[in-house]
Amino acid sequence: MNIVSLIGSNRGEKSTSASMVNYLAQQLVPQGIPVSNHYAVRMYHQPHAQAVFLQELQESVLLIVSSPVYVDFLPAPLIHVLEGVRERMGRNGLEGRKILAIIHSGYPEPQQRRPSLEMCRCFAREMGMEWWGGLSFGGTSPISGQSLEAMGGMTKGIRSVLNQTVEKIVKGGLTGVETLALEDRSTIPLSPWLVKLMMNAMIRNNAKKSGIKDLKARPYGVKGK
Amino acid sequence: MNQVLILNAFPSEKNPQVEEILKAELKDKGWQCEMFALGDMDIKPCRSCGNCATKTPGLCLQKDGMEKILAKWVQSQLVILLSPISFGGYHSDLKKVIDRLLPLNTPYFTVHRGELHHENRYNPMPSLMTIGILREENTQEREAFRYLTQRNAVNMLIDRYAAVIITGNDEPDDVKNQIERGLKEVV
Repeated sequence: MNIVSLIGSNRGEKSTSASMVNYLAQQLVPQGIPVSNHYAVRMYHQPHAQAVFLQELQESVLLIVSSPVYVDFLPAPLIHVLEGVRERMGRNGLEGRKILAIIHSGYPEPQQRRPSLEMCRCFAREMGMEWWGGLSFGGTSPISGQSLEAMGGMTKGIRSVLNQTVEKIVKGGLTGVETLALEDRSTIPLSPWLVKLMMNAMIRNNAKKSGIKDLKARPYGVKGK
Repeated sequence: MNQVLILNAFPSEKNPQVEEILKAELKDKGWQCEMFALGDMDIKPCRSCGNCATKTPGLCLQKDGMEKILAKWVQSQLVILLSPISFGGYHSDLKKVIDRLLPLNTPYFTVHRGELHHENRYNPMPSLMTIGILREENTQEREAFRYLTQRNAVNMLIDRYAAVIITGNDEPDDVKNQIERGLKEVV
């Protein structure tokens, strides 16, 4: 089995999306399952990179889409790549291949990641792929492209889900499902009210330290003026 | 006079009727609309640098077509997003603009409908109407598009919103009725 990953973050190799795929690859590659990483933002700016991706995608068994949520949904360069795949390969052009989606966001609530998972599932249906489900992770902003192990206990739940996923990939335990998300984990076990208080205090302190006076500035004026 | 911003990711040569019907409906209501044809504009993808939140509050460091759109968004009472439906969501040309709306938020958090979100920098936000165009009927994509519109409204702390979904073979009268219905929900 060979795996192709499509990393959706505009931060490319330095992203949390890449950290998650790299964590999977560290365990899959030694077991003889190669993982080839492709970056949506690079393909957006360098269309020839998309040809390489398409070639590898056709030769692969499993596509892993790993992406953050930007304003409720997948980032534009990733959508652009998916549209390009549909345009070049046509409906049902990836029949027989499988897809797994890893969607993460800073917000703890699972509903904030659902539209992105839905989009991946709609893409799978249109391309004739088998949907192996989605992994949904919240509270991932602090990872900020670092390795998951380096984050210690904070990413324990995420690593546990990814470890199980590796095991299933190796043993053939993943199959087509109707379920949108196989797992949802958040690194933030606190109530949103408490998170709001803590985060806002931190933001105020950081602004003070950097000498930024008005974080609520309105450079585009006010309504009607 | 109420102002309407239309962000159009649907090339008019593919189906000029939708755009014409929409503009005629808004004109009937006496609304002043400005439309941006996104496919013709130079708009770069978000760099995800976070500067618009904490370093240059409310301003993106990339200088392109987004400045005009943001200025117009702030002054509008209604924003209409017109897009072909791509896998249950917006086309990438429109999503590029949506990704670049972050300067409309402050970095501060608020709790809205029990969920964590960023505060709006400008209040009140305009009402939101999305018009998605499906090449052919597809229940999953239809539902996904409706849900995405609802999520955008929650995330942007918008109270009035509507999703209108048109398929390639809808008759002009159907399109008109659906747009009328959508406008009634947001006005």
